Amino acid sequence: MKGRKGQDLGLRQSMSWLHGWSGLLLGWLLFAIFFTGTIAYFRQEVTAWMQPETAASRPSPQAAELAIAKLAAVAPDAASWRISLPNDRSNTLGISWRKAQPETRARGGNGRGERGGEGNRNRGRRGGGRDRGESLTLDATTGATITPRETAGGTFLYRFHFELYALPREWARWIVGIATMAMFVAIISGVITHKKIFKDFFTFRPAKGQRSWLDAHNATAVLALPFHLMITYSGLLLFASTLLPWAGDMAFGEDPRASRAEARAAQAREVEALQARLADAAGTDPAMAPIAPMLARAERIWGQPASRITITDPGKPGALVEVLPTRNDSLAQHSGSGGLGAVKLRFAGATGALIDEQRDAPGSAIATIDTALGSLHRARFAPPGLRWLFFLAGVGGTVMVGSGLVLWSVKRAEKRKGAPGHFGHKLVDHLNVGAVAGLCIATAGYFWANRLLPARLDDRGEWEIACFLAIWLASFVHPLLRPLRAAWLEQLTAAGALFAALPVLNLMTSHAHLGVTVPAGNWMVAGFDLVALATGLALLAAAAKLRRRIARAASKPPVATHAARLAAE
Amino acid sequence: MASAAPSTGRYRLAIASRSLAAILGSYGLAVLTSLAITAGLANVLGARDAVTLGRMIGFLVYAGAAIWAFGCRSAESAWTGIGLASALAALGLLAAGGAA
Repeated sequence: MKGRKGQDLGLRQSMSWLHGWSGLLLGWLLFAIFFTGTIAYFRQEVTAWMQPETAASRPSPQAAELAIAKLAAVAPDAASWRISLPNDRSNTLGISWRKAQPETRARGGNGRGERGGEGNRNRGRRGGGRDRGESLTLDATTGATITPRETAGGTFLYRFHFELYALPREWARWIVGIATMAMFVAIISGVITHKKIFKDFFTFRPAKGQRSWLDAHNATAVLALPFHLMITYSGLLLFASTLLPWAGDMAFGEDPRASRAEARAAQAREVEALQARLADAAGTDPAMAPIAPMLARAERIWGQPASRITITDPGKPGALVEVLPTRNDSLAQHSGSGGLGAVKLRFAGATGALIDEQRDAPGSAIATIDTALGSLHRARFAPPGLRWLFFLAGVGGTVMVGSGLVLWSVKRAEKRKGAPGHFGHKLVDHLNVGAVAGLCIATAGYFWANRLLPARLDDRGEWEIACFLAIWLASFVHPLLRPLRAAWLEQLTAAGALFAALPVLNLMTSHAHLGVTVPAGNWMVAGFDLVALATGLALLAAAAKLRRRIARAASKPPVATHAARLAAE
Repeated sequence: MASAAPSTGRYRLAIASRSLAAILGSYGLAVLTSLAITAGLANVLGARDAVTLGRMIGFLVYAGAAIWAFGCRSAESAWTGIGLASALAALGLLAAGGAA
């Protein structure tokens, strides 16, 4: 970036050009990534709403005992049991078990042989679909088996935001990775373009056409600028081994996963040796110590409740109980989903004695920065309040990208002074409708499909996804058949109505509607209905504003107001 | 960019050239930088950290180079700058490879 002294204007102009084009070309994809990624901050809650059969389950102190009793009944000879306790993001009790000891523990199969869409199945949902064993969902108070409808759930939206759909995993990651890189360039060039960026932030000129769009774009960009930079750069780092693969090949040789596989094998040997010692100490008594004191001890040590229990060789003298906390309490902590380095406590199954306390091994400075950025991206450490803040920042990012796309159209329309745009401009104007308003309709339609498709449909989750994709596709065709303003108006109205009516649909199709969830204090499920309502009202308000704008424009001479009309859109 | 836009054709060619420099040239530079850092620091930081640091800096270099490709005086200087930086990174990689 040399030689900018004395030609500052030129630099800012070229940065503005770069910002506009890099933003536009991948903006449609970025809007979808931001939109679905923002929802993904609440993917468990979304899945809970999409499985209303689970809503009646309330957390209870005896959940762990209920789970163990059930596992002892259905899988007494299993090699391992796994229990997911209810917590502030899930009100059900999940159990799963594995018959034989498989050689691929934990994340061994990650990235190989696993098709992109497979994780959508939601089986063993808390484990992210990685486990191959059998699983059941239980009522956390009664221990009764719940059979929730099959759904692609929040998991589909989560996976869509970085793997899209039905594409080979590597391709999808490259496409999303390229969009992320464009985003990174657009953010930096955007900051250079707006040298007065912080002053601009306090400028909002409502109802002024292009000015208003520019101000909205700037405000959402600056307000959450640290979030945008963080989410983009950390997104790149999460994809680093795909986007910049060769450094890994060079440093780790032919098989980059070899060192990890070795570490896992060493861990497995260590556990085996430990169990042999436990078995010697316990003799032949197969009785298990009660689980409650172990959980109480874990909560005392961590200051937060346990969320997952794994019991290896249950009912045998060498039984080993491993307990994991609910969330990471530090940014520098690796994810606790069974990967290496997770915080956990180990207890002897037979005696209930605490054997060892595994903390996250403190990494090097570089590893810590890398992990912290990954933690920030996924908000794995975040308690509910902070999670809402991330969600709102994500909404800000979604609005930033959406308003940026509209701004691109409006700016060029204003330059044309009412003259019809050439093919390229028209194409962008029309694609904007489907990419922004259409995605809102498709997402609302996805939730509608969840309620309206027959409960026992085969491949139900796939049908939900098919509805989402079909509606989205239709929303790209619709603007081609309608005048641009009408297309925006109709799609915004449709999206608003579909979102706003979701609580009503829920009332008619489930027993987990606001009339039940609010009195019961089940804010996890009620929250979905309320956010859907707020989203719907916001979209309807946008539509109403547009309708007024069109009416006003119609009463003025056409040339002067063409831009204003587009601006309203 | 093209100050008086002598002809649309030449202007478009310059834009295309800068775009290629920004998209592909910067990627080449980012790859070479990350490899040079990994090779150069693997013995100091350990393989894993060297790879991570190389990638972290690689992405920053990509963004910086892509922006520079549009901010600099001409398409030629975009290619020259990115080419020189890539050559430097390649030299660093060779030197580190020889040392290791």
